[in-house]
Amino acid sequence: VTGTRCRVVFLAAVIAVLTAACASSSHPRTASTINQPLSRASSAGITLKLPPGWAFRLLPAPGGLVVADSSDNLKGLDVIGPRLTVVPSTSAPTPNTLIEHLDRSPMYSPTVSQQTFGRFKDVPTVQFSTAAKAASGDTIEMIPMTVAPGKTYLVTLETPSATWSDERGALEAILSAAAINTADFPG
Amino acid sequence: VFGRAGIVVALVASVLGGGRIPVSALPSTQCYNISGPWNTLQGGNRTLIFTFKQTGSAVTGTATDGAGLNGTFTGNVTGDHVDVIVTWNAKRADGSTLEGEYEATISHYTLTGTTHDVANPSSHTTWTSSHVDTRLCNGAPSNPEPPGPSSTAEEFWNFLQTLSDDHLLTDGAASGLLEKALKDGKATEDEFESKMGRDPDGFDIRALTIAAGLAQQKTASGASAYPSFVAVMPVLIRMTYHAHTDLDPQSRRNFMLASYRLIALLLRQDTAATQAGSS
Repeated sequence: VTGTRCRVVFLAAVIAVLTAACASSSHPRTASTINQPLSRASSAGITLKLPPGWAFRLLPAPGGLVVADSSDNLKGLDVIGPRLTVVPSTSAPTPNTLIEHLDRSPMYSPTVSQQTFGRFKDVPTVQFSTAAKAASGDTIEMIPMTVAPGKTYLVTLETPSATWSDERGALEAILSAAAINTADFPG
Repeated sequence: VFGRAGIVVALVASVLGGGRIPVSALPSTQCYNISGPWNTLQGGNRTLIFTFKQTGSAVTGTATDGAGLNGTFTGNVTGDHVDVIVTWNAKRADGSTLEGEYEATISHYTLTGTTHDVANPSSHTTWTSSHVDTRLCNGAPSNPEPPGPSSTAEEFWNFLQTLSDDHLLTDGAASGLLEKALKDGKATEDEFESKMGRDPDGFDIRALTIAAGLAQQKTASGASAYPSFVAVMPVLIRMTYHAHTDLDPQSRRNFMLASYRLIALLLRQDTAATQAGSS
């Protein structure tokens, strides 16, 4: 039964990726390319208004979008400034995939709360830091934002911890002002 | 749990009179035997295994990072304090052999202290170490404090009660959802335990099981019924991992409680979205 379920989930993942690829085929092939200084960035039904000077890139699949305060801050594992990532969630990964790809890097001080982003209220948020000391490492906030039944974007806000309190507001404001067209959500 | 704790408190109070414990009646510093392997985290990012062999107050042993860095050490244990000097198979910049002094306070299952290069005392950093079978000097097991009302089992029960009180798992059409989620999430639970082992605290990972089960539920149209669980499963798995493996007991509990709270919020969000979609 587990094998059958794995095959079904794998098939669903393939379909989701293909669907996302087809949905984006009408746009220029900008995957993994860096774009600036456009004032808006859009992917998979969500459009973000960018502050002046910010850059964005599209993730190859499945419809992910990254915006940051500079093009140098779009790809690195460690952030060097404020960065926001949005990925439409389409299919559940299998248990073995989840465990095999488990991120074992340190997490400190997990904080779970709920916030309002634009017209979406009581959205759960998970905030943690990557270093034990308050001003070291990065601070990360993960936000599963459900915009319609069955449709959730996983949003990640990141900054160096030393500047989190200064830059968090700007990142959350970008998310609050996002224009969302659920008809374009992949899947 | 409450009953046993209450009886102990009552007995202590009756023996000592008036419920006040004189200072002279407090236990003196414990005497430990720390023989065995200890999983160690140094400076927040370096993992080591210290293997102690204690005879009386003298202690010898080995240390390794499992990737080529090895050391031997000698030292002593005095009451609840351990102090050893490790000679590493590594050199300082000046070519001399690296030696590190490690001091720590011993408690149930845990060593916590600081370390520094013997040649450079200002280079100190922290280290903490865990071991599942700490013994007292007389060979008796070093039992931790008996679990109180904030034990993991009770926290989990409170978590389920919260979901029930909020009609998230037991109301109307959702009846039986918990049972189904536990069944469908079993594969994730089994996979997690096969890779990570069972938690030394007896941490109950059924919350992860529930989340994994909910992530697999579909609506009649085939859409995900709980899409935010789909989105955050990697995060929940990671939180459970830290709740399972962090060397600091308080951190383990923090991660566990944070994952409970996250699950409750996700369930509330997805239930509202599903209801909005069906109305």
